Parts: sequence; structure tokens; C-alpha cells
Amino acid sequence: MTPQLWLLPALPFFGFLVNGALALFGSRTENGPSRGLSGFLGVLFPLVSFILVVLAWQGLFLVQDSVLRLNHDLGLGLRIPQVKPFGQVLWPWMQTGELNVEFGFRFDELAGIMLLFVTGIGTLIHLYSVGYMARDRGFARFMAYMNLFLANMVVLVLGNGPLVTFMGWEGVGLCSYLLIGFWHHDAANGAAAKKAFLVNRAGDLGFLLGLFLLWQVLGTGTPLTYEAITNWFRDPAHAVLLASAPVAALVTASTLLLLLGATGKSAQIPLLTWLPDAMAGPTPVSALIHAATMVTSGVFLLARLSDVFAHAPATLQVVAWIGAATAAWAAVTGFVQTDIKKILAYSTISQLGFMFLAAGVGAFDAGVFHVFTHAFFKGVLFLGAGSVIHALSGEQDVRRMGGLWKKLPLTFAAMSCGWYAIVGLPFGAGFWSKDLILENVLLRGGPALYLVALATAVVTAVYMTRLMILVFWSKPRFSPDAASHIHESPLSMQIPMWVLGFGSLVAGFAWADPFHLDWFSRHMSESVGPAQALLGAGAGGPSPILLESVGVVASLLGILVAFALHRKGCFRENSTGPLSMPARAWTLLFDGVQSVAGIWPVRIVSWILDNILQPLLVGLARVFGWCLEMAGGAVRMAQTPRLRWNLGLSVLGLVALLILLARNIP
Amino acid sequence: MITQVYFWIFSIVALATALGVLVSRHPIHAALCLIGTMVSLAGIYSLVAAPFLATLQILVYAGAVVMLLVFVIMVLNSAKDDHTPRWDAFGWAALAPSAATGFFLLRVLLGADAAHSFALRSTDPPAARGTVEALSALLFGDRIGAWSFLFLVVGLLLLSAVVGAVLLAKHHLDSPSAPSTPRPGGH
Amino acid sequence: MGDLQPIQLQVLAALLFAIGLATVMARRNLFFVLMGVELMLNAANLSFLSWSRTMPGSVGLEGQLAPIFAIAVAAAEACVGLAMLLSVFRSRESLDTDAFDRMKE
Repeated sequence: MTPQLWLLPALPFFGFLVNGALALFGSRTENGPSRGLSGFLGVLFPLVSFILVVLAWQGLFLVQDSVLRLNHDLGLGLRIPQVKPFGQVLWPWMQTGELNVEFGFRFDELAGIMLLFVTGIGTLIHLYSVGYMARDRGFARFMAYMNLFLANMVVLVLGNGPLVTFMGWEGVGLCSYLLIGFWHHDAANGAAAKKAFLVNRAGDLGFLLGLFLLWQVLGTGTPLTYEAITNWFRDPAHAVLLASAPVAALVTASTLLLLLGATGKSAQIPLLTWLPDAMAGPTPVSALIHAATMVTSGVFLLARLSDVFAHAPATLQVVAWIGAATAAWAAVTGFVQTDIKKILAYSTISQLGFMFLAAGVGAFDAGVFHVFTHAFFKGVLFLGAGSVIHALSGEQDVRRMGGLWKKLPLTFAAMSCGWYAIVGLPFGAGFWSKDLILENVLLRGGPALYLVALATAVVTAVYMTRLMILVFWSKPRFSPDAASHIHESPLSMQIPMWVLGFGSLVAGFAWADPFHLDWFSRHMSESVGPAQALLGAGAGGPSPILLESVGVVASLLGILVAFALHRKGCFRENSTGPLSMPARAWTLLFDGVQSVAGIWPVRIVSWILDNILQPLLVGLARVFGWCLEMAGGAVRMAQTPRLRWNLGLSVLGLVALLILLARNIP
Repeated sequence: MITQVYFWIFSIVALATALGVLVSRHPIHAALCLIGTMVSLAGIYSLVAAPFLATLQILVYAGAVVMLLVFVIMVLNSAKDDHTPRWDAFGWAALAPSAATGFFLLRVLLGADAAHSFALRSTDPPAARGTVEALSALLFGDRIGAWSFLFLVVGLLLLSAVVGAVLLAKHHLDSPSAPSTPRPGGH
Repeated sequence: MGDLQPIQLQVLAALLFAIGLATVMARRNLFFVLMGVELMLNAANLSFLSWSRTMPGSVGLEGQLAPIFAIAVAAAEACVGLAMLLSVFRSRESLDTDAFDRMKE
């Protein structure tokens, strides 16, 4: 049986078309298109896609013809057979002599993992949106955009080469724009959407340039597929070539540019300013795009091209330091925010920094593992935040919340699971993945990076606990008329929160070394193993148990600090104004940098064009027109009605003829 | 020898009277100068063994055409036309192309191979050539040829010209109003 | 050089032609225009005759037939031209060529 991989993106895309049609045709009616139909279809197609992904795992197993080893020992020795990669080429895309690219998909280990939670969590968030956006007039349009986003994300993950991935890359950028600016009647949302799109675009430039340089390294004989690229880089025959100075420089340049693309999508320094502003979109958008899927594309790219990056150690140094710096900066910024979604946005940036840090020290599988767990706990945190906002009729300022653990128990329970995971308390999902990263950083990256990462972990615990305190545990501070409307979310919003909350607690067990559960690691070994082997595992350091204990101590320290600050009243709960000056300066630091480095040059150039070049060109056109007018006027004189003038001109013609005839006579 | 003298006399008179036409104030003076030119030319024709043509020139051209011109000048008593200036700026400007035409014509004529192409080749004695008998033989000779046909066509042409002229002029003479003033609203 | 050379006749014809052309262009009175045209025709006749002297036999004689026809045509043209002058004078009350500017531009 031929694998019909094209169905995986095609189904959500079809959902986009159907919902789009519903939105268009239902726009004339009073209330808009039918919510039931639109919501049902909007959830159905991603769900079918998810089922197909699961079947793809299992189907492979059948194709593989191995014996299913189901060990019903709960938790221990659970072995799931490895997925063997397979692909499907759809059509020849660009066929010139030197560049031969086919449009196709490839389902391998990395793609399989990503697809599981992209489609799975995607479906859950679509279900959540049905409840969250139920009253919104543009419901069908929202479901259409979400479906389109999912389709593009699947293409990104499933692509068999960088160019197919780039198609999905651009597509998710577009959908991000559409969804952030969904409530487009408010111009501020449109501005935030534009900002996201443009900053992404700057990253895309890096992606493409890096790809071109990579193609230079590979030579024209290699097709641009991931399989070919990894084989080329793993080939021992090319090791000498890669060690030579010019090729190494080319590889370094290429990877630096690709890194720029990754930072654009994953909101790292220097292209991180768009993510906090992206919170202007509806909460399901923030949950899906800016927590679980799109922002992880950068890390995905790094893991996909791990073999390439392994040959550019200088770039990896840069990656590690960018990750560490971003994580630290974002953690401090999250601490001073007052909007619940902004706190979570900076938390996302910080966690992405951790993932980049992991990749930078050469632990790509740890990075992807953190992607996996982060999708669960960040997802539930965002969904919970949405539930709180929904309950308080749109209130987003944490200084006006409090005491909600009694009013919204279910939401509180789900968010507590997410909080438990993110601060790294024992056996939660975040505990496993973050400690894995810290361990790798210490062993491979050195003590400096480790200390930065550890400090960031402490601050993470502080601000996340601050969030929980201000929203749930402290005294109620919300306005009375909001109080009268507080209600738990409907079931469609609850179910995803339960699932993700549960995942936050147990997802970490996919790779829990002390319990000898290393399915994830073995699963990823095929795709990122050789790169990691090249970079060398760190020499044996302190024992893992010790490191994990240090991690737990750091988390508990952070929690205690948060409670202490709250007791002292440092959180300024009763103030209502905007952020204080230093807080605002810190937050807008990178916006300022981008303004100077990016926007001012553009403004200067455009001023030059407007005030110098434009009048020049207009003047030239005018001069040209004037010349034509003069010439026309001169010619018009020949059409004179006066007899003698007419005759005179004819005689002039005669003279000209005579001159011609007399020319040859010496 | 004597031919040359006569030629120079006739040509100078012809040029002088032609200039007279150019600069005359009154059309009548110009017409008289024109007659002078034509008669001089007739003289030159007779010098080049074209007696019939010379006679024709005086009888028809000088005697009939210019007479017609004079009659019309006299019919239009406002022919002196005080309003029209004799010479204006355009006049001076018009001299240039005319001079240029003359100059280039002369250049072509007096050029290198002019002497060769303009060599006198006729071997017949000059006096015998342009006589009435010779020309008639050519025109109406035993073959019905192009020339006789042309002769008939010219006759038709003259007829149609006369008819047309009468029509053109009569149209206005028929109108009830005075012939020299146009009707208001034109006609 | 006793005989009359054709070149002399040609030169005279060229000069007469130039004077006739000047008369047509430079004078504003319509009569003078017609007279200039007559001058030009005469110059052309003279030119024909000078050519006929360069040709032997009956070909040369044909050079004398052309002026005959030219004279006939000139007569017809003068006739019609004067009739038109009369009618133009009747409608314009002027013999100034610059007054006749109703041609399409």
C-alpha cells in the first residue's frame, strides 16, 4: 500500500476551504454562518489528520512486519517499535539542470514526533476554540484560518526537503498574521500582526540565504532533500572536505543565516519582539501558534539540520549563548508584566531559549524533548488563561484578579498541573525535560552556561508562582460586575484543558532515565544521533540524581521567593496604572534595538526616495513631455492654412531633394 | 558669332523683365514685363531653330494668355489693392529657398560631367529643323501614334477649361445682387 | 564657339525658374502668383528646347513638341485660374493670399 501522506496536510486544508466558503456565504446573514456546522467541520478535519498520524505509526509497524511487543507493565520497559522513515513524492517541482527539487513528504522519526503533538494538540485547541469563540461573529473565518494554519504546519514538519519546509514556513507566517490580526477592526491588532509578519520575514531572508549557501556546499549533484543532506554530511568521505577552511567557512556562514531564520520563527534574540505583541490575537491562537507549534519551528529546523550544524561549532556556540541570553532576559521581563498573556508570552520566549541552549550544546534530542513537553504545559497554561479571561468577561490584568481558586476550580486544577510542570517540581513533564537540558549544558557547555540556565530556572519559578498567586491564591480584586458573571468554561473548553493538564504531568515519562524509560531518546537517535556523536558527549560529570536534586532545589527556592515577595507586598497588587519606567525600558529593549537597526535605515532610505528621487523622476518625465510638446509644436507649424507658408514648406522639400541630387557632384 | 550676341541680348532682357515681374507695384506693369520676357524667349527659340515654336509663343502665350490676364486685371478695378503690401518679411524669407533652388540647379548643370551630357549632337543644319512641315510630319505622320492622340486630348482639355471658366465666372454674374459685392452670408 | 551651346539655355532656364519661384512665394497679390507660375512654365519650355538640341534626328524634334503642348496646357490653366481668381475675389473682396486661410490646419 502506498502511503498517502498528502492526506495529512490536505485534510485541514480542505477544512479551510469549506470553512472559508461557509464564512463567505454566511456573511450576509444577521448572525453569520452556522456555528455548529463550522465548528464541527473545523474540529473534524484535524481530528482525522491526527488519527491518520497515529495510523501512520501503526501502519508502519505492520509494514515492518515485526512482533508487537506490548509490555503491560505500566511505565516500565514500555517499548514502542521505532518508526522507519518513508516518503511520498507528489510531483516534480523545480527541474532545472542544476537544481532538482521534488515536492514530497517524508515521515521519519523527528517528523513523526512533531506531527503527533502538532495534530493532536491542534485538534484539542480547535475544540477549545469552538467554546471560546462561540459568540464571535467571525467564527467560521476563525476556524478556516486555524485549519489553514494546521495544514501549513503539517507541510512544514512533513516536508522532504528545506524548500517544502519553507513553503510551510511561509504559510504559518501568513496564518499567524491572519490570526493575530483577527479582530481587525481595532487597528492595534493589525499593527501587531504586521509586526509579527515583518519580523518573521527578516528571518525568512536568513533562511533562504542560508539555504543557498548550503546548496553551494553540497554541490549540484545532491538533491535538496533532508535525506540527501544528512547522508552527505554523514559521509566520512566528505569529512576532509568539510575540514578545509573555505568549505568550513561556507558551512558556518550558512548555518548562521539559517539560525537567523530560526530565531525569527522562535522569537529569540534578535528577532523576538513580535511574540509579546502577538498576544493581541485570541487566546486559542496564542495557545496553538505561540506556544505549541509555530514557535517550535525554529528548534525543529535546528534538529532537522543537526548534521549540518554539527559541522559548524562556532555557530553552535552562538546558538547556545543566544538561547541562554534570551532565556534569562525573557524570564526577568516576564516577572515585571501585568497582563496574564504577556507573562505567558515571555515565559514561552524563555523556554524556547532553553531549547536553543540545548541545541547549542549539541543535545538536539533534549531540545526536541523539551519542545514536546513544553507543548503540553504551555498549552494548558494558555488555555487556562483563556478560561480565566473568558470567566472575567475580558479582564486580562493580573492585578485585578485573585481568589479564583474557589470560583474556577476546574480551571485552577488544570493550570496548577501546568504550573507544576513548568517550575520543574519532581516528576512533572518540565522536571524531566528541563533537568535533561541542564545536565547536558553542564556536561557539554561548561559551568558558565549552566549557571545562567540555573539562575533562569529559579526566576522562571518565581514569576510563574507570582502568576498563580496573583490569579488564584491572593485576595479577590476583580470588579463587582465581573464578579457576577464568573462561570466555569463550557465543556468544549474544559476537555482540552484536562487532556493537556494530564499530559503536563505524565508526558515527561517518555524519557525518564532513572526509571530506564528512554523511548524518546532511542526514537530520536536515528535522526540526531550522529550529529550528537560528532560533537561528543560530555565526560561523566556529577551523577544525574545530584543534578536533579539541584534542579528541584532551584524550583523550590523560586517558589519560596515568590511567596516571600508576595507577603512583603512587592507585587503591587493594588496599583492599576501601566508598568513602571524601568520595567517598561527593560521590556522594550529589543524593540529599541530593532528600531535603530532596522526601521530607521528604512525610514532614511524612504525619505531619500520620496524627497529626492521622486521629484527627480517626475521632473525628468516633465522635461521629456515638454520636449515632445515642443517637437509637436514645431511639426504642427507645417500644417498651416496659410497658402504661402504651405508653398514655402513644399519648396523647402524641393530644395532638400536637390541637395540630395547634387551631393555626388564634386 | 552673331547668334551669341543675339542670345546675350535676349537673355539679359528676359532676366531683366522677369525681375520686373518680381518687383512691380501694379499688376499691369507686371503683365507688361511678362510680355517682355515671353517675347525675348521667343527670340531665343528662333535662334535655336524652332521658328514655329517662337511664333506660337508670341501668338498664343504673349498674345492670348497675357492678354487674358490683362483683361481680368482691368475688370477688377480694385486690382491695385492698396491693402496688400508689395513686400513683407515673408518675402525676404522666400528669397532664400528660391536662391537655393537656383543655386543647386546650377550646381547640377555646371557639374563635372555636365559638359559631356550637354554636348551639342544634332547634325542637321539648324535652320531646317523646327519648321512647320517637320513638326506636322511628326505630329500627324502616317502612323496614328501617341502625338496625334495627345493632340486630340489637348483639344478636349482646352474645351473643358473654357467651359469650366465660363461656369465659374457666370455663377456669380447670375446673382441678382451687384456682381462686385458678395452677398451677406456668402454664397 | 559660334553655335549656341545647350548649357547656356539651361542656365538661363534655371535662373528664370528661380525668379518665377520667388515671385510665387514672395508676392501677396494673387495676380503675381499666376504670373510667377507662367514664368516657371516658360523656363521649363526653354529647358525642353535645350535638351532637344542635344539629341539627334527626330528625337530632337520631339523635344520641340513638348513645349507646344505645354503652351496649350498653360493657356487652359491660365483660363481656369483667372476664373477662380474672379470667384475668389467675389467671396473675399480681397486679393491677398494671406486672407485665404480657411484651409484645414
